[in-house]
Amino acid sequence: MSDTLDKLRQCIVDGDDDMATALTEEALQSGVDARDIVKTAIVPGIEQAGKLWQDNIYFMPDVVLSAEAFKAAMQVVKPYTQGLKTASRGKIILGVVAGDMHDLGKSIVIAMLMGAGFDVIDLGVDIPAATFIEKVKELKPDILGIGCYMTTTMLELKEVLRALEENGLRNTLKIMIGGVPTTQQFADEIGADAWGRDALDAVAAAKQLIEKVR
Amino acid sequence: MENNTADKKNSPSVTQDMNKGIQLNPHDPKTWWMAYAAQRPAWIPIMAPMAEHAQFLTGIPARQFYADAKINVHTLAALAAYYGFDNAMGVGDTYNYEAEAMGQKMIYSENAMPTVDSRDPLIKQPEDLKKIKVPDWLHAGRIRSVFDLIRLNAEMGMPGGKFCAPFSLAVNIRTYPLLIKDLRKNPEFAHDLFTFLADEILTSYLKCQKEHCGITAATAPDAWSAFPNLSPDLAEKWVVPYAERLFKNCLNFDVKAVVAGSCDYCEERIEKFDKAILFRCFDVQKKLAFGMPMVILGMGRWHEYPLEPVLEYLAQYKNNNIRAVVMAQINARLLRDGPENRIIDLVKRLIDTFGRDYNLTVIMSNVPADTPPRHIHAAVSAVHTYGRLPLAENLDTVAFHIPEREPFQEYVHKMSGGIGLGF
Repeated sequence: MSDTLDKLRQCIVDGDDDMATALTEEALQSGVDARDIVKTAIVPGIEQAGKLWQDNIYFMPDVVLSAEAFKAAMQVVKPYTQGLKTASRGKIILGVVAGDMHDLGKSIVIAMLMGAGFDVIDLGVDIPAATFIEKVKELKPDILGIGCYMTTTMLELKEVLRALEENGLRNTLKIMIGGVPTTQQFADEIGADAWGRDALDAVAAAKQLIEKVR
Repeated sequence: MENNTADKKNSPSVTQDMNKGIQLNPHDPKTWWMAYAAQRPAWIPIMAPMAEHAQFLTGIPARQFYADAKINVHTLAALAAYYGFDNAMGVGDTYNYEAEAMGQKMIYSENAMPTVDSRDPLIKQPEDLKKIKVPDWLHAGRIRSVFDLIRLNAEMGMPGGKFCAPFSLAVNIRTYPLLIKDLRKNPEFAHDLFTFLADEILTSYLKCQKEHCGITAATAPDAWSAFPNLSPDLAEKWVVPYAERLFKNCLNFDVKAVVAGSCDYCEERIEKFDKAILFRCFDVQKKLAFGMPMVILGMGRWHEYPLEPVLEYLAQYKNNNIRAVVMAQINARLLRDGPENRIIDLVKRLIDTFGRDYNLTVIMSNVPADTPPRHIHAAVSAVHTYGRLPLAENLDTVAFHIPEREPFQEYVHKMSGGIGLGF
């Protein structure tokens, strides 16, 4: 069985989503615990892709395909892990602000955060401030991640933070932001708790923020 | 050294000659810039297609700004005259027009630039490609406003067509993850898609621009193929052949259609800066420039990258007495965040490094919406001071200060005699 798990890990590194799905199913049918599949094959696969990105061996297309393969494998194991006691680092909800449809960065961030053990809920793109508020109230995340990819929609982040403040929710969670036009300075200006330059930064920031929450 | 290679079409001297004797018309901000352009001293040019900043600064609703060519061009011309740019081209959401005309669903909002709805791509399955028809360009989407924009730009001495590069257009109608998967798993379909976009869609679009706007050249941005969105190897395989194909197609009706900005080196992490990859990116750019010796220092962190490797690459031209073109951009986030002295230092460094042996143009692209105008004034003043021709031997001896300027609204009030921008 370790052969199947090795192949699965490699499929995620290689970004082969179809094969990742097939091998995850094969591992489950062979009786491997879903949590072991995640821990020994799926997560190491996405971590390896991140390492290759860091080392300038992988570029965006490679990482996107790895994230897709990760997502495909996770979808297969998801029904088997629901209800099981799994150690989660914390709950994060992520979304892209209103008027903005770019979700490439978010998809990679989600894969990396899940790989790092966070429970991640994706709100999607084009999310109005009111929806962020509603979801924060409903899901009570430890961290809210907000993305934007245009300089005009970047200004919407201020609106989300203002709305959180007005609804008395700002101090109930930590906020991290990201996206092409954002910077640490902008994060400071709007009062976010952290800024991620890329998915690796986002994971590091989330780990630090969760320490402060707990 | 012979100045035999620069594209002089939009150079200050050309627009200066064209605009000599222009009469200021308070109702027409195009003339504000044209009058300014006619009396500029000789300096290294600086230009800034800055739609988002213009829309934000003026408060014009996005739905109007990106759909009405006159509003767009007049606003950008007024802004170009105010800041002192050497180019005043109207520019909209350049990547979206063709996709929208083909039927791609768009998202419009009050304050943001229109954007394609990536949740609902035009090509969901490879079979969808066969269903796409070449648009009736004169009646599709916002194409008429694009044609108006091209004509208004030409009135200011800046002719030229606009289009979206095949790769970026493919992303807009397919989404990036699906397209990347196609390149890996279904290359035949990817080839069919790019061929269709180059041969059918973009060739007919540019032919229509030729017929209705009289263009002889057109340029396309291609940010989706910038590095690391695409590796140089993938760009060689999936960008260059279709750009070449389009170029050849358009020569049949005497239009030079050039894809610019592909393989723009945009590594975000300075510790990952890699000279070998940068050179590979330049090699791809060289192929796309069809013989023009040039390098593009685009959206990357050029305020942090070393410039020596660029000189090393450019030596192939300098050693052969060829004066190459260097298009160097001030990073958009640096421009927004400042501080001013960091912006000024970058401009000075670019001019000192490239201003003497190369045809340098400084560009501010994608200027963030809420960029403080003082940061833009700082950048322009630095170019106008340090870039005054002939360049001083030692730029450290050049006195520099940022002139105090009135706010844009006050400038408009003064120039228009209280009328404003007229819309």
